[in-house]
Amino acid sequence: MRLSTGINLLNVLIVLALIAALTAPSLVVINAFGVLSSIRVGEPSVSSSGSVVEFSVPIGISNSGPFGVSDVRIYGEVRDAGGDLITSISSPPFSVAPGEIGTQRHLQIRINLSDIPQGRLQTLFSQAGNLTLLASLGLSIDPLISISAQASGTIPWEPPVKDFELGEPAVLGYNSTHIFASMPVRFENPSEIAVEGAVEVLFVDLETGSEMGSGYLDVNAPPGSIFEGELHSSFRLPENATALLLEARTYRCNATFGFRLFGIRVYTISSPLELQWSPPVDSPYLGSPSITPYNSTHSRFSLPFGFVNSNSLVTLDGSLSLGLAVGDVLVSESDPVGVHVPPGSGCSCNLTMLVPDWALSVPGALILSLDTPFGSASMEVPING
Amino acid sequence: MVKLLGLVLSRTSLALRLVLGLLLGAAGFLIFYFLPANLVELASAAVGEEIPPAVAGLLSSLVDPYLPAVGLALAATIFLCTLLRGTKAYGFVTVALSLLYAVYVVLWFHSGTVSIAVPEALLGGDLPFGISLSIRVEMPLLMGLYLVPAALGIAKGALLVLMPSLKKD
Repeated sequence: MRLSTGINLLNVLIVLALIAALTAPSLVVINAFGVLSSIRVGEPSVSSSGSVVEFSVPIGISNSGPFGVSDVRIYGEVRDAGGDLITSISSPPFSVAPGEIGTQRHLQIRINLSDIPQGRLQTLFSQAGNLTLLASLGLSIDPLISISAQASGTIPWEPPVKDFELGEPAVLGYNSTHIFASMPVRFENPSEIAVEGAVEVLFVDLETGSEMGSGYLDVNAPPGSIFEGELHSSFRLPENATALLLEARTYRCNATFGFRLFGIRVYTISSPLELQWSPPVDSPYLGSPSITPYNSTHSRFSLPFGFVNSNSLVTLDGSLSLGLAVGDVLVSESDPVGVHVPPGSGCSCNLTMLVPDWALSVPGALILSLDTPFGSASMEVPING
Repeated sequence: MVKLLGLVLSRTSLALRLVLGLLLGAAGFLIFYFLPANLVELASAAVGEEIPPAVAGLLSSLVDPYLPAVGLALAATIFLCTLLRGTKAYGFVTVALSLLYAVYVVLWFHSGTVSIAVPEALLGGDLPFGISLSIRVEMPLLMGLYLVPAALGIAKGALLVLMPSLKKD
């Protein structure tokens, strides 16, 4: 009697266990679909502070089912062709308790670009190759099921800065201390990421190691675009800039172009540069002076003067004047003659001044002066009266 | 009257047992053998078109290769269990049925962890790069829930086997 009761009890338990076993997956599936269909993804926001870029994706989620959803987590990493880790992202895990309706979560992904070794950034920006992407997603439907998904892919990588070209510089202006120049910059961005930041350039004298100049350009190159812009630079003039007016020079420097994104330098291109400087006052010549009587005490003294601006960049603006000195005394001076000499063109003018007749019969010196923003240069020509 | 392994039955009762056993056996055959053995074809029929090879491969990978054979044995045991209810062999058949059911559950749940390698063709053929996706579902507790009836069945079968000797005591 007791055994048959036991058998009957087991029969009841078997039926109940079967019902529970058949019901549980249905409840899990309904629970999972309920949670998945309740997910509402909001507008993602991107914020960057220094080298840290943070993506925040608001997610509205509800769980009306009997099972809690826990340990929802996302992880991703990118490795280069050699298998070295470039960057990894992960979100802090979160849970959705049973009965939680309309809860707002923020899926936050934080990337610190400064954690990426400079060498890898340099490689990424300069070389095409394949990147390996690993991503994983996990969640648990407590306590019955734990689901994890892992995706891996090989993504062809195109460097964001391709065929970087620097055009011929153009001088925008100059003063006694600096030359301001503009250089066309062109590069192609065939990659899938936008290059938004700045290009900085630094010119360093190879002989002295001192900084010769620097420049800056804002860059915004969307994916698949060709960027063209003007890199504005300033070059520091040497202390004796007057010599630049008359002498040819060769400057050997190292130009370093640095791309700065999200506040950190991600890519640099260095290249030696040889800057040829030709004098803006080249091949000066003096013509035959002429003297004509002006009045009873003075004569008009005329001197033809000319030169060629051999510099291909600088337009020489300034003024020329002529003077006559006897001993240490300047006895006569012409009015300044303004000059405007574009690159490659010549200048010729007739400098005229009134000279006391007595000064023409004693030894003296003609003083030819040129005043420019570079400085002033003067040339003395002795005369014997 | 007919004597079946120590149980005296009327011919009508035996006929009823045979019919019920065949019906339950057929149901077991459909559920435990035919469905998993023809999953791809049934899925094609359900959607009304031929399932792409990638999906077919994925569905096939969900079914353990030994599952249909165990399902076939299970269907046969269900028939025997119905036929031999109350006989001397009922306890042994019940234990056999429960064990086969337990094996079937373990095979169905892939021992509690199902790993699915989603074919690349299912992940979007237009992607400019190769990608692979694998999904791992761990459900040992759910499998355990399905094994409870098997454990109870084994206990019941054991009691049935021991019942005659216990009665003697």
